[in-house]
Amino acid sequence: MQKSVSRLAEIIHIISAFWVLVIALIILIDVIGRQFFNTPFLGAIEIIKNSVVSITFLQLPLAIYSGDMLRTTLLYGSVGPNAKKALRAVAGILGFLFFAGVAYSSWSPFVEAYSINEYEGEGALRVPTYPVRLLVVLTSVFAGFMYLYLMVLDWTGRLDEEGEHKILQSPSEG
Amino acid sequence: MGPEVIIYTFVLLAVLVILGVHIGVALGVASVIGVWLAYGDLEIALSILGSTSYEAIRSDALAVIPLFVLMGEVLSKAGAATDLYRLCDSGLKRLPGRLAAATVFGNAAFAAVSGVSIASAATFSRIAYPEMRKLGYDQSYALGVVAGSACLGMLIPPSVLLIVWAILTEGSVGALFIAGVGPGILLAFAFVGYNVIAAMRDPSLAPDQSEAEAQLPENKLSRDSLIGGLGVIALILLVLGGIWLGWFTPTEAAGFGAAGGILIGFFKKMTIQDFISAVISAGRTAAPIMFLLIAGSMYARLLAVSGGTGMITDMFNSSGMSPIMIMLAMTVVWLLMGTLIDSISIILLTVPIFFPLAIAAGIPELAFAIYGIMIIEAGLLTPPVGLLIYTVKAAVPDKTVTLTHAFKGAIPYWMLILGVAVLILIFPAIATWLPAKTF
Repeated sequence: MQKSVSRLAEIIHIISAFWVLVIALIILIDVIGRQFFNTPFLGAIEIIKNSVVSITFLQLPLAIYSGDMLRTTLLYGSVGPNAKKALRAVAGILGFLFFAGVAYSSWSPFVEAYSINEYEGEGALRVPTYPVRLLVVLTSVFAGFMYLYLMVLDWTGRLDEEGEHKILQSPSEG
Repeated sequence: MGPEVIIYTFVLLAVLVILGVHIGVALGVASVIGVWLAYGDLEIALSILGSTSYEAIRSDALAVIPLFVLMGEVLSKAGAATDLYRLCDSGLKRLPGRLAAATVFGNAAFAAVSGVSIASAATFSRIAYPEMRKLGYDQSYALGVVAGSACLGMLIPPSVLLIVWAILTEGSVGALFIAGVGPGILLAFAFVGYNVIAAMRDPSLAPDQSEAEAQLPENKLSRDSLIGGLGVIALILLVLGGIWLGWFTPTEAAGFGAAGGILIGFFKKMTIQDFISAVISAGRTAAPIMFLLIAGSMYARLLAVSGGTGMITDMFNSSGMSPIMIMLAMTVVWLLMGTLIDSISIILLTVPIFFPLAIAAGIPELAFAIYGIMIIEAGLLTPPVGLLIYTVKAAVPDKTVTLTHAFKGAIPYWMLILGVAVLILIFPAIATWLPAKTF
């Protein structure tokens, strides 16, 4: 189970990480095309806008799983192992509730966008909005699940005293 | 409930942050509860949550963050830090304390492209510190310059702090980039001036051993380092110059920056493994920042819908505090927070409240932004608990280093940052002159 959860988080993370490269490429094509060949990349802005949302949400589950989310260690650093575990649980429950809230509140806008066929952009390039809306729902469900799942791992003794993964290396510095 | 809901939300937010709840989650949860209290309806709060999650970062301007982070990670994996250090070092023959001066320039340039002062300080702790020690530089002197110069990088475009600040205050990323140039140069010269004067007054801090070190093979500037170092400087100039001359929007500059970074990595024969790991770690750095921005806009909306911003501004106006007192209060809060949390979180937590206050007090937007970023970075150096000091102490490959050594070394830089920051408040033109020529 642990393997497949982290694997899935990694896969969607890698997809989105390389997606950033694609954005860079689109910008290059757009600017060079516009400056030298008078043919901009149609819809570049629409693509980039939607990509920023998609990339961010696709990267969140792994960031949560690997402990990359920013937090303070002011109190955490000065208490014993049991209190640490309790603090991690508080952070985990709130993380779960927050993403459950995002998923819940993004669902009906998705349904609506899908049923009325909501589009944005104009002319030749019209982008439907429902795919990105659906992506936000799905990745938020995954992110919320990740917070709960980390708590389960923590409380069944599968994380070390600091709440880090025993096998998986913690993020590289830098 | 009226604007007083803001007070409850602050308390809740502070408690959550201290408990160690992820800062983005804390901001989001406190904002949802705040809106819920303000309207007495959870559905409204949730619908704002849903629309913010989708809308807040759905902007092509925000692509600058993942793109610049990618550029920084690729350059970092390609060994740009060492290259910059080598290049600056070989450009500064015969200067007293010249390795320290090379650290100032190299670390500042690297911090600017890598976007995070803490990461840059950790890298230079491993590159520059051992070398300074090898040539007999004083321990505190060497530690101080590594920690201090990382702060400088946050003023130099394309620093992530400048981007986050501009987005949060709905200002222009390009204008803020250009605004950082004057103060950045001023601070760099203040740092190097201090290095040189200190080394001249007390040669034991940085003994002159140019003869001995010329013999060391690793001090030769290789072709590889030359490409890497000049490449990074060229990239910074391209990004900055392109925006300044109106060739690029910041997003386009970021696209070119990322492509340029990859090109430099390619010239330096970066391996495919390193490249892939740079792309992946860029995602792990960028995602939490973007998430903070989503949560930060929730919080900004809460401040707006509950009338909190107006209430706080009125409170300060009716308190009869002079603009100087208001600035002083903000400065103290920032310096204290710098000892607890990272700079981006500080910006998200404080700027939505401080910015309208500063504008009401008549401080120019751009000058206030640069002042704020400098103070927040100085907070990371504040004795006895600044985060940068801990980072440097933990990262240097030298077991004899104590926190006291590091703080002692960092104090002059801390004072110089505060000094230049105050100078900017007195003469805002240092920051606003250059952007006024363009924007």
